[in-house]
Amino acid sequence: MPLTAQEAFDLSKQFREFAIVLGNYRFANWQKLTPTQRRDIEDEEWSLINSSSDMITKAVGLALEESETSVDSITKSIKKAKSAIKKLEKVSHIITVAAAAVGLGAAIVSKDPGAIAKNAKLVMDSTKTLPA
Amino acid sequence: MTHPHTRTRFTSRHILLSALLFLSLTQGCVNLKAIQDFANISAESAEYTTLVDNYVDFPHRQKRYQPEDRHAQLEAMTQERLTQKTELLLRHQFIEEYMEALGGLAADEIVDQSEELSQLTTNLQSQAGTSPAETEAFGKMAVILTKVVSDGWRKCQLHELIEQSNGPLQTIVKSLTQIVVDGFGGDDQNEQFAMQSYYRTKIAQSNDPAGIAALMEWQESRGENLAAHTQSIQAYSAILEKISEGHQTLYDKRNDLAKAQLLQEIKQTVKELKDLLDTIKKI
Repeated sequence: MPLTAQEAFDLSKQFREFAIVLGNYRFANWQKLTPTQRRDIEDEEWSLINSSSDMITKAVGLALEESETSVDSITKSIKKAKSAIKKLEKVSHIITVAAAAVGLGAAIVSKDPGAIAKNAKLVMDSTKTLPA
Repeated sequence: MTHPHTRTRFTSRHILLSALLFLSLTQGCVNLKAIQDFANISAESAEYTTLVDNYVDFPHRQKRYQPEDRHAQLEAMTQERLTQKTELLLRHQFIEEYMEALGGLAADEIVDQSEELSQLTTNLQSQAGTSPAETEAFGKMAVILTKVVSDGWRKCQLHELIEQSNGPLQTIVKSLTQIVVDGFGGDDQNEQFAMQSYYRTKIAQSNDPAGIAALMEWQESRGENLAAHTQSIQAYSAILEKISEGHQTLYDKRNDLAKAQLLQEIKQTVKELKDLLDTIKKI
């Protein structure tokens, strides 16, 4: 899945924003969370922000030219995951969604098209645990 | 009624004046100081590569905030960024060398950049990560600069230099601008996140008021440094935009480079570039 530099920069932004949403959740619910839950969420935040930085590194070495690749499905997955964090009540669900997004970030950085498609689906599936 | 002799004298004077104007353009009598100044300040701006160093150093700075089990990943990121450094600097070098050639021709000097060109060509051969469009721009620019040196171009070829170089120069500047804005700017936003997460976590975990106060002071101080860095990124992207616009103006009016209105416009661009460069130097 060849990305353009602009697409990689845009994805980097999406992952940063997701890390921010997760961090805000952790601090807003600090008293309600157990130390293990806080650590688990923080761990996912570091993974997401490092994915964002890795995407910047990739983008700097990438082309400026146009690409036919659509990153819409990735962007949709991350947006869905961000909004799920604000709605989900169970901490374990939140950690599951965050972990799926971390997997997607790793797949993007490793430029593995199969893994990207699989992980984008995993992120979408993880958000379906939302209560009706 | 005009006397025939008067008409003849007028025509002769007209031809003489035109010839003088042509000679002055080709022999370097027309003062193109505004273009020289534009080239010099642009070359000086391209020499500013602190942001590239900070980009490479970013994963190291992250180690201040991230848990130890993340340090190996950050180290790998540093290594990858180190391999990109020559390519990043190549964009700066091309802009600098080109601007020195532009300034030289505007001053009607012979440009001697043989050593710098040789270095550029060597760097160019070892770099493969850029897009085909940018690689082509690097190649074209190297060919033009070589021609300037080998053929001993002077002021009369100034318009030709501008005409041939504008396309590749705009491609290189556009690419560098994107890296500065989205890449270096993105790094700053990630650093902001890491810093806030680190200090907020420490403060939330602490029961010691004096410790919390100290942590808040540290956070504020680090935040100020980061804000200054972000300001230098914004100023540098504005510099690149001015270089791009200024050169485009020269290209658009390349057949009338001695025109007072053009030189006035370029003079204004030089002033804006100087102010922006001063801002960066003060940070």
